Amino acid sequence: MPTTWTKKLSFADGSLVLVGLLLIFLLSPYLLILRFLEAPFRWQADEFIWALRNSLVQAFFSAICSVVLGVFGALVLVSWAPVSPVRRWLDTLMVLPGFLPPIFLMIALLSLGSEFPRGVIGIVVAHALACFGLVATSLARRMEQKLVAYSQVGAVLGATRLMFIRWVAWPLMRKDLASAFILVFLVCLGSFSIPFVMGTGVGITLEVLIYEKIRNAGAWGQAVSYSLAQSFLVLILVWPRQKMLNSRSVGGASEQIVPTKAGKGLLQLLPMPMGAWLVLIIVGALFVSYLRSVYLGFSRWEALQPILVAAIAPMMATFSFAAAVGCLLALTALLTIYCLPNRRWENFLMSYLAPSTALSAFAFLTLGGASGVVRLFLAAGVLVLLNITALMRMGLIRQLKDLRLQMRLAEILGAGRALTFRKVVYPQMISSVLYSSGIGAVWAAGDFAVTRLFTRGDTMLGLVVQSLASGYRLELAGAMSVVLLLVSAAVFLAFLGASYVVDKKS
Amino acid sequence: MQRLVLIFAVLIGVVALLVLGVVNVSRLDRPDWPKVKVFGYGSFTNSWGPGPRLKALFEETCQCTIEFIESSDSGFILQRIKLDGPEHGPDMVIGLDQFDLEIAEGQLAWQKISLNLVPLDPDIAAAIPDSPLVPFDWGVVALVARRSELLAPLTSLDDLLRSDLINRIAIQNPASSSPGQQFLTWVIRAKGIEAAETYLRALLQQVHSITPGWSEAYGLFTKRVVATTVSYTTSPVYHKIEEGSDDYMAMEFVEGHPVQIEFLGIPANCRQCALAQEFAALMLSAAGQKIIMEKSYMFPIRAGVAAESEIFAAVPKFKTLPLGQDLKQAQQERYLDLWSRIRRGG
Repeated sequence: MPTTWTKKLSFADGSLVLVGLLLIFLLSPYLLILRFLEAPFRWQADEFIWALRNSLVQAFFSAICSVVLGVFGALVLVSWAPVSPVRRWLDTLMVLPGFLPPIFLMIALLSLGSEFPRGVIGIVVAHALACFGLVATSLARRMEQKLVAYSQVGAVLGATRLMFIRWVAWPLMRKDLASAFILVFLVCLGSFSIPFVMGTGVGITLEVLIYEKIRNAGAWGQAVSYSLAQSFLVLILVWPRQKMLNSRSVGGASEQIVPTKAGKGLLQLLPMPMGAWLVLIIVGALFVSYLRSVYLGFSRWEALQPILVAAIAPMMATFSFAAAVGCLLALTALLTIYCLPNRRWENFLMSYLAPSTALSAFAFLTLGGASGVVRLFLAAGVLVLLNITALMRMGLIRQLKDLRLQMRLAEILGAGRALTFRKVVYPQMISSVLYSSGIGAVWAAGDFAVTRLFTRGDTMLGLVVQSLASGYRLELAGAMSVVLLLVSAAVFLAFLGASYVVDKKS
Repeated sequence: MQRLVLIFAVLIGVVALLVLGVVNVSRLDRPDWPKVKVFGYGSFTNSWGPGPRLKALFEETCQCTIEFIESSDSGFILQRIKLDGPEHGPDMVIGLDQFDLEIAEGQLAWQKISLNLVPLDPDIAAAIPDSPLVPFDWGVVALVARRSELLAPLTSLDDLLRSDLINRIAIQNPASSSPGQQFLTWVIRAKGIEAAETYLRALLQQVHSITPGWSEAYGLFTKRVVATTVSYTTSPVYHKIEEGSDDYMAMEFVEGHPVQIEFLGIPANCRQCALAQEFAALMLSAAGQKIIMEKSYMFPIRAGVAAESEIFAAVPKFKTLPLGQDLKQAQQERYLDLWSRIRRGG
């Protein structure tokens, strides 16, 4: 059964309406802001091209570096069986930099000292460190799904590692590498906070330029046109590639992973266990650098104590808000999944680049809402909009592809979309959806750019940290980021727990 | 079962948002009292800034509630007002700087706030432009450094090109930060536009970082990643009061220094206009000005207030540049275009 099997959207099962609503939601920042545009506006082609070039260059090299590091990380991971405790620790260590809100990675990198590169190189390094773990874990899983049997046969026949890579691993994994590249490329192209801080003003990307345009003179026309042009260009660049990747797909359902002795890797010809030390050094350096920054804050305990006491309410608010964003992400992800498989919808999701953070937040602000509840819903909506497609691309769409055989069989047996979703897709996907939503919730916990616009005062921990940093109290901000880290961990554990419970039940 | 879990999770999410919203709404305190909506930037309205103390002082007597609505930075305040629309508009706006005045006056009609009863600090009185928006604090922009670190103090903009400062300077991006915009204007005014272009191209080779805002640059400075950064003459006061350190200094340049003035205004379509006027009066009173000075580490505009503080009175008085045509929006756009060209290497 080819993975290219697709299903038409229809009114009858509600999928057409649902896709329409989701499309309106994803494009809503543009639609909302249109009424504020004043023609004519200045279109500065040279500036746009320069920033777009910076965006493309940093995203391209970020993706290359992430995939290269990710392949290396995957080879390290497959040295241990998926159930091995070492493997789980390595998994966690690798995904940690990308999994936490960018503020933590930036504190760690900026504390490395004056030698840390800035500009495009700095952005690429930061992105690569943030993304390589996600690439590594996903590639390791794919390698184990696709290559185990070949590896065993190859080992018996006396193939060398190089021969196995050249004749087996490369042809079978090429498509996954391309998918990983596109995934990271899009994440980095839409990234705002890392280029904003690390770009040093001379290597700024289109996302940052859009922010500058809005901030300086309310040049909404320019901001919207730049953002639309970027999204359109990405669509043109990525869509055909996406179609090609889909059409070349072979082997629909995931192959069974052959169980081996716990602790031993499944791929006999690929493991690279010594590489674990390099992973530990990279992540350890970031961790030590971050702790050094935090230590300065805790050394001013007297000043920190009242801030900690005052942070109890923001801690609870951050937890609640992040949990709410996570739930909304889960709901949106399930609605999105309901409308799959559909080639056009999937290609759109894989090629869509959300409007810039500033543009989206201001657009939702135009919906007004004097009450705190409405404003918080709007803030949550913006964060869902900004993160949903990244979460879908990070594994949910891939996992759904693995279920197509079962979905097709269900259809042949007469099940409609709703029944297939309820009986086949939902029970097998909900655990992953909750896990991904937990990651989105962690990102929401660390947000301050969006929540600052929608809330009053320092009601969230991210806002407290940012306020401290903007009022001379930088070392205290570093110390308070630990509290934010703990709350983020609590939110994630809640989702992980839910995911675990659901997984056991299904 | 799974469906139940999902429904339960969504319910928890919705309830969490509602609880959070109620907590937010409850911050509005007494619903029967009139509410004065004040738009301000984060470091004014947050608990470390002067906002909460001014609010508490005012609410003791006004039988009203001050509601601060924050924007992440002063550049976004006007955008926010524009998008929020007149029905959600503020009764008062705090934190616009001199570069925002022309846009602010063009975008909105403002009520007149009288400065007649405020004895103005003679150091700033002449620089205050004729506008319905009035200043509430000011600062002198300067390069700050640690005495223990610099080989010799800097005395001019050209000193920033010294070889011992290669990769040891952090400046702010003029396109995303007010101090950055001040620095760009400073260089252009001191050197003229052509020489400034040459100078800035050379400086870009020299700097360690061009940060998006003041806090990032100052963070690099306090972590000793860089030796100097653009800040204010009052910055060393913070380190003296909070850390007991005398090591920090602002350096006087022969070119003279730009001043940054922060303004407050009352939009003509305000709903609680009288209360807003009273709150403005409190901010400009001796007590209000003292709070602003001590919490924002900026100079008060009211004469005599800084003199009462030993530390603030001891801040060296640098030669300042008069406010000029640079305030015009068109001029600033030209400057930012120049910056855009320089950073593109064009």
